[in-house]
Amino acid sequence: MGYPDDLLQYAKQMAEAYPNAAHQSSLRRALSSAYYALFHLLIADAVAHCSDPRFRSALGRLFDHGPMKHVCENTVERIRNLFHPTPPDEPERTVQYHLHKVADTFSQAQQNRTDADYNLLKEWQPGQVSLLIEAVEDAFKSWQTIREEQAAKDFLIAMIPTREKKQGQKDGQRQKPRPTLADPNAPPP
Amino acid sequence: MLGTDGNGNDAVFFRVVLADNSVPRNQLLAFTRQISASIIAQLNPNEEWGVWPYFDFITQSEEARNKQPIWA
Repeated sequence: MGYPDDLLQYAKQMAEAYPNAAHQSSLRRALSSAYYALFHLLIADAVAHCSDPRFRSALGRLFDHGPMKHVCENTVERIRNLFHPTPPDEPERTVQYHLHKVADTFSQAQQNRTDADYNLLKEWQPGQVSLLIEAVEDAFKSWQTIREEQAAKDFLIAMIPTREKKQGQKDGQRQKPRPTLADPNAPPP
Repeated sequence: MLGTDGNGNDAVFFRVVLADNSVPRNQLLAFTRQISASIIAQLNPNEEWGVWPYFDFITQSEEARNKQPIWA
């Protein structure tokens, strides 16, 4: 059992440690560990093609939470558009379905981890956390199904940080101000 | 609720309260995914408003526990 599986197992144990009490520190550790399980699962596969363990370790450190989530959000949107109005044929449909599940779960789990670690005003409940961890566990299964597919490898390659990608993200943020719900027609600042 | 996510990007947070035992436990995850997909399909929050949607599902009884004072 690898480190990502260990982390997921630990998350489940923490979530179930106090089934009848909202034991906040256990539930928060559970959410944080579940996110890191998925984070390390993807990184482990991304660097697995490198044979030297020292290189793998160094390469793994290059991956960053924000850019990985950015790739996940782009993937979720791309697949959503791909399925509308007509889903692709098999086997692409199944691959994209599982990839969507992984990307969407990563995005949601990262936000849950942020809340769990930093937002002390939010109170978690055992059933609620158990459901979120089940989603991560399900994403693990989806990843195992598609990890050898080209689409999954492309997804991982997109997560590898490069100077061009970092610059592109900065430029994109500058050029595309997000509208606000309060005044969608207001000119950009 | 509107706000920002952990990366500082604009986001919309949906909190969905489910009736207790309304869905068998082994079908709950699939059910919540259907709800999320349906909300996204109808509102399209990212394309329409530039906010990324996040979902939080909780049962009525757990939601009620949340509202109790922490010392109760």
